[in-house]
Parts: sequence; C-alpha cells; structure tokens
Amino acid sequence: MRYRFKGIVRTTGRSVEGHAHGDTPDEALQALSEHGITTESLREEPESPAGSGGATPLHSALESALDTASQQIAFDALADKYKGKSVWVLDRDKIRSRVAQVVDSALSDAMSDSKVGMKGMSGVREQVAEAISGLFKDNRNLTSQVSSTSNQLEGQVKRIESMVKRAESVLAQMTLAISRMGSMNFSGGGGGGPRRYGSATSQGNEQNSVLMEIFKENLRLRGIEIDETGEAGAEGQAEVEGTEAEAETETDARVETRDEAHGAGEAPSEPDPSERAGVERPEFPQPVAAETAREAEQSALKQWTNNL
Amino acid sequence: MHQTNTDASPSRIKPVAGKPILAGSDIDNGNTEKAMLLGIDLGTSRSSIVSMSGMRKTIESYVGYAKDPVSRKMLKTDVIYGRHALDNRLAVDLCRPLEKGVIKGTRDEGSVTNDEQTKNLRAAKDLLRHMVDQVRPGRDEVLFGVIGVPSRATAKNKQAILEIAREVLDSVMIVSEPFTVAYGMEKMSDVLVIDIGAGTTDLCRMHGTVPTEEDEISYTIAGDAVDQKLWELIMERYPKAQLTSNMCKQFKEQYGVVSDARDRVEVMIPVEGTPTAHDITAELKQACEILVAPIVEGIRRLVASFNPEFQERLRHNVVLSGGGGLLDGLSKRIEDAMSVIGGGRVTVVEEPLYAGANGALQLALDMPGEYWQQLR
Repeated sequence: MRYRFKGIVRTTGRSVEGHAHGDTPDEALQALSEHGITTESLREEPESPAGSGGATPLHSALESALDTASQQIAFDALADKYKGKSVWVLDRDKIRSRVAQVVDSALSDAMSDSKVGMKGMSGVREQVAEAISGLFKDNRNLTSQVSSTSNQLEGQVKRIESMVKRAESVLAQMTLAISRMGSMNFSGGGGGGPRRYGSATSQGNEQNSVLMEIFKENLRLRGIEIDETGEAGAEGQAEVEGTEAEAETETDARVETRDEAHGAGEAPSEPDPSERAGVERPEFPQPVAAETAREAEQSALKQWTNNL
Repeated sequence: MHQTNTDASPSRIKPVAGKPILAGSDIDNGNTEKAMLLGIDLGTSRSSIVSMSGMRKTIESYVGYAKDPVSRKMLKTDVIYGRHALDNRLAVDLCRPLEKGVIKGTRDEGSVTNDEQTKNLRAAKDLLRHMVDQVRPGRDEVLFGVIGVPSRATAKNKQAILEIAREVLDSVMIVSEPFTVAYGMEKMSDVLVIDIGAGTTDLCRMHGTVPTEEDEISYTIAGDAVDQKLWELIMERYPKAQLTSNMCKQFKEQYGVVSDARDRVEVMIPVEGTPTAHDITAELKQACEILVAPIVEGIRRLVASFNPEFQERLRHNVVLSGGGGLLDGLSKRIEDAMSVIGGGRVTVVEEPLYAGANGALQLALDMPGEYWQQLR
C-alpha cells in the first residue's frame, strides 16, 4: 500500500512530503522514521492509474488555486467546537488528485473520440467542465471523514507517549543501577549489588536485623513457629551485664551477648534445649563424642546458620 | 560473601516438621536459579510493579470479565484489566478487588458474602498475574516478590494477599507499605512516612527498626473519600449535573489542589445530555482539604509518643508518598497546619506512585537468597 505523508526532516527541520510504502500505516511510519523523517500526517493514497503522471502543470495550478482559496484559522477553537464529533473536512490532497483524474480522463476521452476534429477544443472544454461539475456535486469526492478515532495526530501522540514511557523505563533502570552502586562499599569496579553485601558497619548490621525481622514476620504469617524465648533470655541477660558489654568493642559486645544467650539457654525452664544446642554448636564446638544423631539431622540448619 | 550477623542469629528459628529450613537439596538455589525479583504495590485504585530488570508498570486496579459471548467476541478475550476494563465497563462484570488497601471481604466486618469474597480473591489473583506478565519475566526465571500492604492490615488481610500471591509468585514477602517507602529512600530512622492511597492514608514513623503497631496509624480518609466528598459538593451546587464518582476521580487527578493560588477550574459535566461548563474550583479545594486535618492529627500523635529528644527531628522529616502526594500544594498545606504543633518540614517523595514498589524491590534485592528459599 502506498501512503501519502507530510513531515519534517529530523536533522534539518525542513518540511517534506511524499509517498511511503508499507503493508500497514505502522510499517510506513517505521520506514519514515528510519529515513530520519518525523511524520506529521499519513494517509492512504493508492497508486494512480498509468498515464496520470503527465498532469504536473495542472497539479501546480490546482495547488495555487487551493492556496489562494484557503485561509488560516485558530485550530484550538475549531478542535473545541468539534471535540468528540465526526466531521468531514475538505481534503486538499484528495481534491488535487480527483481533479487531476477527472481532467485527465475527460481529455483522454475527448482525444479518443473520432468527432474531436469537428467539435474542436470547445467540445473538450465542455466535457471537462461537465466532469468537474460532476465531481463537485458530491462532497464525498472532496472531503475525508475525520473523527476522534481516525485522527492521525492522535496516533502520533500515542507514538510519542510510548516513546516517553520507554525512555522513563530506561531512566528508572539507570536510577536503580545508580542507587545500587551508591549503596555499595566495594572499592573496585564491577557494578553494584544488594546492600547487605556492604562492609560490616553498624548500619549494615541494623539493616540485616531489619531483614531478619521481616523474614520472621513472614514466617509467622505462614504459621511457622519461631522460638523467641532464647532471644528474650539473651536480651535479659545482656541487660544485666550491660555496663560491662558497653565497654567492649562492637564485635566483642556481640560475642558477649551470644555467650550469655548460650548460658541463659541452658536454664531448666527452656522448653527444647536439644534444638538450641544443635543450633549454637557451630559457635561453641562440643567434643566429638557429644555428637548425636539429632545434631546430624540438623546439619543443614547449622550450615545455613554458618552461612549467615 | 555473606556478612556475619550475630545479633540477628537465626538460631532462634525453630524448625517445624514438614517445613524444611533449607531447600530439598540443602543448596541455596537463589544464586543458581535465575530469579526475577519484583517490588509490588497492590493499591485500591492503582497497582504498581517494578522488576529488577528495570521494567515497571502502573495499572488501575480493575478487572473485567466478559459478560457474554458477544462481549467476549468484542473484547477478543475473557478478562481485561486496568483502564481497558474501566472503559469497557458496560460490556464486562467489573471488579475492583481491593478496598482500603486489602482484598475486599478479608476485613473483619463480614459485610461481604462468601461468593463475593471468592470473586474478589480470583480477581486479585488475576490482577497480580497480569501485572507480573506486564514486566515480562523469562520462562525459566523463578519469581520472588515483596508486596506492600497498608500498615494496619490485619493478619487475615495479609494472609489473603499471601495466599493469592503464592499462586502467582514462587516466593512472597508481605511488608508494610510506608516501611517500603522509607526503605527505598534509605531513611530508616527519624522519618515519618505518610502514604496517601485511595483506600487508606497510612502514617508510619521509622526509628531504625521494623515499625510496630504503635508506630503506625491508618485512616480511611484517603483518595476515595475525597472523590466522594467532591461528588457531594458538586451535586449540592449543581443538582442537575450528571456526575459519577469516576468523573470526580478524574477531576481530582487532573486539577486536585489544596492551595489558594490556583486558576479557576472549569470542567465539562453533562446536564440532561448536554456537556456544560461547571466551575468547581471551591468544591475541589474543599474536597481535597479533608485529607489535611487527619494527617496533622496523626503526625501530632506519632510525634507526641516519640522519644522527646528526637521529636524535633521527626517533625522536620515528614515524607509524603502515594497518589495523594501528587495533590498540588498538599505538602505546603500540611506544613502550615503543623504550625500548631510546633512546625515541621514536609517533602514529597520522588515518584510518589512508584515509591512503594521501588522500596519493595530494594527490599527484595537486599533479602538474602536463603530467606527466599525458605519461604517457597
């Protein structure tokens, strides 16, 4: 299918019009875009029948007539007035091509007519006048229907909108990548990563405990029990020994708390000491003889704990 | 390499029979499987999704099911979503599955029948599946997602969302929305996040830990309440106007304002079928204004119950997010209203519509692979 287009050359800003070929309007638009043309309007214009190409002087005469007969008006007012309605507009391209076709066919008819010699040019003129008056009798020969759905401009706006969305997506991707890089503490190159892989600062620990808390909350939502008693015991003990712990470095303080958690865990009130022992053994290794079948069963859990 | 974290020792998690702590192979598959991490903000009016590949989408939280063979033929599908569903509402059974930030019927009031609840659950699941499809995950990718829910959602609400999400995603975590906003901004301490959605306005103060119930306040005076108020005010002034609450929502989103310095807002509303210009400047301002008083009251309560040494810092670190954050002049108006409680500073988060989903994605990225595996 051939399409008539009007547009602007992207690099120079110069107005341009002509024909583009494609199976669908999108293909034609794509082709124009690849040729560096930003399309303003596009409409179907099938190939004209052979022989009509010789009407160039007539085309320019028509163009001139149309130019002098038209006047510019404020488009916004017009758009407001006809918003949401289907309207017929005089189509300059259509008029030009139809008039050319009519004149051309009238002339060719007259030329082929054997009586042309007798009638002379006056006969030809009559025939052309008749054909043109027939053309102007039906408005549909000169106008094209424009509705909100068929508005080419709307199609263009949609294309721009989709382009903006794509650009936004790319920007979001970049922002995300930059924010990940910003939150990293790696000194070398190689991009970013989750913030938990940053260096061991107090903020990192805080964040990890937040992640752990969220994880626990989600376990609870799934009905999975979490043994919080050990935690409470450890905290209570840590408070008693608080002043001592405060004097230590951060790392030491953590070890101290852990030690106390272990001590508190051994209190007879603990509901399930075997599990606790199984979990904490990696930090405080027991003699080999103390290995039990239950501990072996929980090796997976130990491995997971060690990984953290 | 993982960082050692003895403070948050996992030793306190008690294994339960039938719930393996590790995946079957005892190997953390989070690194070997191709995982697509997603941040999701399931909202009453709009839902957003952000993927680790940078794709993101916001759609209106509507699901439409073709009513009959004719509508199915016209729509060329059985189910349509978002704006498309809203535009074709006459041809479909339109469902808005979320209400006040949670799935309709999962609140405790019991005002919804079992059939409706089932329908809402199905619609919410379809909506979530559609959102996930929009970010085009690969066929061989496992999907891990963090979903934001209103701060005061009950366990029942969260479980309902969890249930539908587990049918769509391989592993899911549910997190409070204001928390995800704060997390995304990397402001986890001394900040007060106000998430103004369609169903709820959530206030949450952050102080370096996961917020508890005392740190959160939720009001149902939010976007939908503004639409309703606007409808009432316009109908009171122009009784002949043919107006729907969806039109009010559009007016609010287009012209919503809480400051005086705004041009006249004139909209076209049909009167007996004829589009007629209506001046709604005062009504719009008055309707949007209803958000301010509860927010200021919420700020006052959260500040008053905070450690006095940090109250000043909290008041000067108020962040607005959600669709309500887009209302023109709201931050300034809240700042002005805060003068009675000692003043403060209110800022609007970058990209209010995506802030929750962005934070949820950041949380998903930071979450260790082992956690994801255990929740599968």
